[in-house]
Amino acid sequence: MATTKIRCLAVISASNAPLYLRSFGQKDTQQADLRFHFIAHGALDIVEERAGNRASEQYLGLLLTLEDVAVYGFQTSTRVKFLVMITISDAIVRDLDLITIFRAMHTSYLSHICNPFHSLPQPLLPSKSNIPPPPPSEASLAASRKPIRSPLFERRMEKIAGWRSPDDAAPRPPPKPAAEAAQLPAVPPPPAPKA
Amino acid sequence: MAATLPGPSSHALPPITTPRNNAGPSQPPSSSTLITPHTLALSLPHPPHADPLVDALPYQLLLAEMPATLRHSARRAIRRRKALLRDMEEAGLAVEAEESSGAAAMAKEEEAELEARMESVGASVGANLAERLSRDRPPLNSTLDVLKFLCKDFWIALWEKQVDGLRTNHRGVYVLQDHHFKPLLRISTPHGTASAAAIAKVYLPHSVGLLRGALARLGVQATVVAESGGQAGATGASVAATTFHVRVASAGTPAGSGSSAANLGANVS
Repeated sequence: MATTKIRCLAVISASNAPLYLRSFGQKDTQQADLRFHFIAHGALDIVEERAGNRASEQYLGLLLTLEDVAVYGFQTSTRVKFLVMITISDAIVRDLDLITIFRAMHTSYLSHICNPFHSLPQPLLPSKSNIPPPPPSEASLAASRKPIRSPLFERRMEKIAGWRSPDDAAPRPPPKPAAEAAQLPAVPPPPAPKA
Repeated sequence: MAATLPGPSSHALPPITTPRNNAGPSQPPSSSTLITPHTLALSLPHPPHADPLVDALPYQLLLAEMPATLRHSARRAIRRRKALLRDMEEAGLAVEAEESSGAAAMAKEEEAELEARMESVGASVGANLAERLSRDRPPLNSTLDVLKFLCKDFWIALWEKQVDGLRTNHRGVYVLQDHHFKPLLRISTPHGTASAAAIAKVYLPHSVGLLRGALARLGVQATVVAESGGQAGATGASVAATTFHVRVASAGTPAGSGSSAANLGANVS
């Protein structure tokens, strides 16, 4: 396959704790592969070095390549880091594309962090979704250090990664024109057939 | 499988084309296939049809109503705490003796709780606002850069003006002066400046919290103390002339308590 794919997206807090790590592999599992945690950890060391030197840029470029993934990084002014891991292929990887992906992640992260309802204590009864309830030690963390557990954030990350759940038997609907897609941050548009 | 995206006209990305499967001499595959329309939409700073700015008036109205509601909440918290202490005492557990009871102590406790609540609301709002505002700005490397960002972009976003004066003693203490501080500008009572200053004291913790939250999110641990004019011994005759003392916690010195206004010349550690 000549084109490259996003294998993993990660959000790391200012204190280098993982806030969100999601892998997009063949298996339909919400638990990220442990391998990607390891790779993210290795990439963080490089982020520390690079961010110290190139203090005037946020996009950090290619951090490291390990096995079959290449890791790119981005650090915001509040020292929140985003990592994107893509499969290594012979595709030309343009900085512009990655910066677009990072900005999309940044917007989703900002929307999530500004929602004060995420810092409320979680309900005691387990919810219907198959996500396990968060451990009680998380409740005492500050909002910016709390792991991200939000179905909306998950959906947005899935859309950024262009990931289709293997449960979908129907073929993926064709992409909407950009004018319609621009309404996405407010309300996800229902799939419409392409004219 | 490759997605073809029509070139969006709302921002300056060049039209992205991807090679089709049956094309002849196609261009080499590139990472542009990674960009979905959703990614493009999310990468815009804000949805094109939605104005990101909120009218300043709802914020002022909210600020005016906050003390009443939070006072209510503070009273409930104090009542609950006292009930808990009473229960513990009745159950025979040792309980710390309360210092004094009576109307004055109750009022003080209530004011302290209210102040804590106003400040924590300010802290989370300030942190998130700093996060949003610093999005498209160049990264802030030094503490001085962070302070300058506060004095300009942050102040403008919140109160539509810049800080009137910033001074530092280069040892971690910064003084921000605003001669017409917007939240306090419209406070007036028929009883003169002293009572207006007392009312201002209720609204200041929120702004203090905003600054403290923004500083903390941008990586600067500091204590912030505010004083407004019109109080005994403070500079400035009008209530709206406010001074914020920011003391940055350096590696050696722990951040001091914020109960008294720091003097600029004194090196308090």
